[in-house]
Amino acid sequence: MATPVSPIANGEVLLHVGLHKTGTTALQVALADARLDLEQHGVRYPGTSTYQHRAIMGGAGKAYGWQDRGAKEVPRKTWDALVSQSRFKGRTIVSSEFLDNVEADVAARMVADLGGPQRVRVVVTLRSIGAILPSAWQQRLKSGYAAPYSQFLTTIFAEQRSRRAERFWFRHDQVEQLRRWADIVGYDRTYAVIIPDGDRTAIFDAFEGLLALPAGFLAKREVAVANRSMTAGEAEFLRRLNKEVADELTWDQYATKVREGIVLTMVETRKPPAEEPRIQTPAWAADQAAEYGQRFAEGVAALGVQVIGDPGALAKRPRSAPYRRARSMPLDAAVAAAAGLVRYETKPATAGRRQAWRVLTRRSGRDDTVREDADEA
Amino acid sequence: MESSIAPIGQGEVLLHVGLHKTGTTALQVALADSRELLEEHGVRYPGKGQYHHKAILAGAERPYGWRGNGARITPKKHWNRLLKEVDYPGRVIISSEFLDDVKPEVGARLVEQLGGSDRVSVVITLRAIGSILPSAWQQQVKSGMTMRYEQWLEKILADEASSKSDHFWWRHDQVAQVKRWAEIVGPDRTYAVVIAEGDRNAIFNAFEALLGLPHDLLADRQGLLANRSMTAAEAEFVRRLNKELVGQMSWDEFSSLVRRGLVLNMVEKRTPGPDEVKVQTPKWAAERAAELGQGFADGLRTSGVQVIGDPQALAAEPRSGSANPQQALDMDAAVAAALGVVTEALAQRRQLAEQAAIETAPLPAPAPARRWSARGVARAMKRGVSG
Repeated sequence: MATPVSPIANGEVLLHVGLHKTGTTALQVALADARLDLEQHGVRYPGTSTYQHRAIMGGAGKAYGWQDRGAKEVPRKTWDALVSQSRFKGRTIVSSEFLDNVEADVAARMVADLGGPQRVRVVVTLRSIGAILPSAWQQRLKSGYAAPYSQFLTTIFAEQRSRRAERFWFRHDQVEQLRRWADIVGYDRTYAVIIPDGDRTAIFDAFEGLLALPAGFLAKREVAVANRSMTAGEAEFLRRLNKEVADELTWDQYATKVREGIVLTMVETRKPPAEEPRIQTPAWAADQAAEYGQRFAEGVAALGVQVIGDPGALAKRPRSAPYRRARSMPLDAAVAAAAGLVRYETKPATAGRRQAWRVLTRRSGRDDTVREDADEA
Repeated sequence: MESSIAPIGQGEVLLHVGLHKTGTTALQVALADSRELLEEHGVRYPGKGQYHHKAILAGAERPYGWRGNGARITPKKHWNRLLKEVDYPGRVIISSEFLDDVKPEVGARLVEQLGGSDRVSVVITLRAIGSILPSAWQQQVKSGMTMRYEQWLEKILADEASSKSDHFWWRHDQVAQVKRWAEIVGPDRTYAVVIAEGDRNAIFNAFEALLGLPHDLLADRQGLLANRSMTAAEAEFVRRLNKELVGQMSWDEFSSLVRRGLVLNMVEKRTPGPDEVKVQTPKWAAERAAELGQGFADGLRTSGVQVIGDPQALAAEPRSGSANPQQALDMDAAVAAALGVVTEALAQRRQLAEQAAIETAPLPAPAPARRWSARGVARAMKRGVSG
């Protein structure tokens, strides 16, 4: 990381497109937390809430949720507000993993909205694909997906790519992702930040450098951010539950009952003991991941974008172990999950017309709930 | 068991007062299932549903729910309706475990209203107290209790009385229970049926005899309804959940989301594997239970009531084992539990939304969510939980 990073210029916009599971949430939480102090250093993090995902969805014209059942369009005005706040004499930082999934023409339009390639720079944070895999599967589980990890891996690495695999690699082919943005803003204005496994400060260091912030300015704001991975037992529980309910629910119902009510509480209120089994990637897939990673490492190095960190880290083979479905659930996890939902359901006094009316007319827009990826399950 | 039991007289009423966990639910389901067939044999099981609990709660004016938080009195009409049906030339059978904790004066009033002590006979089904203990604890856990099994046993089996143990023994002091009813209807009209461990037919055969029914008419109707016990892990799961939720909800909320939604779905939608541990009674408590059981057996022999079965079975010492709390819940159980809550919550929302739609009819209300149809719920419930 010692590579001296020169900051973007004043009046420019730094567009951070993810990827998922590279520490983006922690970065965004730190940025939001530092919002006022940032302005004093001539840096703006537009908006008033923690995340900018809604604005990005609005700008990309993307619906959030299951495409066929209850996905919600985000009003475009949220994007317009972000664009107007980005007209700032200092440095502006816009960050959302949802940018990793936009088509090139949409990306180009969004860049144009933000002032065009002469004003916008793009930064993509990358981790070895092997480290991404279990997280990506879990993320899908949180969207209602019900295939076991092994099947997910088979789909992803199949010779013949299915639509689902295409979608996955559209986001996670790290070279293609960089190329897509570099073609819009220019290779010299595109940054690849390599995050080595287990390095929690690399992402902060890189952004402090790019935004000309004092060293440690963001890193010291690192909150013990939830967004932890699920354990193998928790993930299997969610997968099985999805299998039972997912076809029956609308996205809104799924999002409130299962995602918010059950999963979020379980993940946030519980600290799994160290010995609780984590999700393990089988050897064949770990080998594949290392191969892909090697290709990405070489591709990123040769691409001509500005690389921060060591691309070699992208080739790291993940630890592997035979994948076994968990047959039991740690009791405290089951309690946290059930309590979460029961509490969620009883928090607003149940009966009563006003409540009923609110249920009826409830808008999906609770800002900070749009937190993580919800691809079509 | 075949010890020549004479049936009750025609025009009489047999009042079955429990106790809990002696096979009462299975009996009631069989009675309800054979209602028409029973009438052919001159026996009436009043009502249309499976249980008489509502009528009994109403007749006894016994509040149901958490005291001070949602307990309520059942409307009297449920009892009055039952009384009307009791006017019958054949034999009438009324059965509810909720009779096991009524005060003597209430019991006397109920008997009076049913035609008095020359028309009513009382039957009490009994099992070894050692077998009752884990079930009784589970029953309380299902009602929101947070106490661990061993702790609860310490309270129940302590020398000093507490309100908890008083209430427990009011129901489960088998000799006192039998005597309470014998004082109302007379010992010759009071029957104690002793159910030996593992004898699933005993309760049916006893009632067949008392009601003058052909042998095995009821036993053959033994339903699929298990009302099975929770496994040790399931029970610990619910106990911990109660602890998590204590004080945060009303009885109605608890009973719909946790009791009906979570517990019922978890218990009914799956059969535990053979490796799943049952709730185990620690050795000290098992021994104490056997002692108490011996006392009940002896007391019953000298009580003067009509005993069906061998009283000595009441003194059986239960199997004992570690009562240490479980740390892991079977995955199927966890899924079934969560599914139960989700399903229940959705059904509630839907009801609420429909209600809102009706109440705000003049306004162009947005349509309530339709995805979770009644049929969908039914299908999901039927399908159960599969790996």
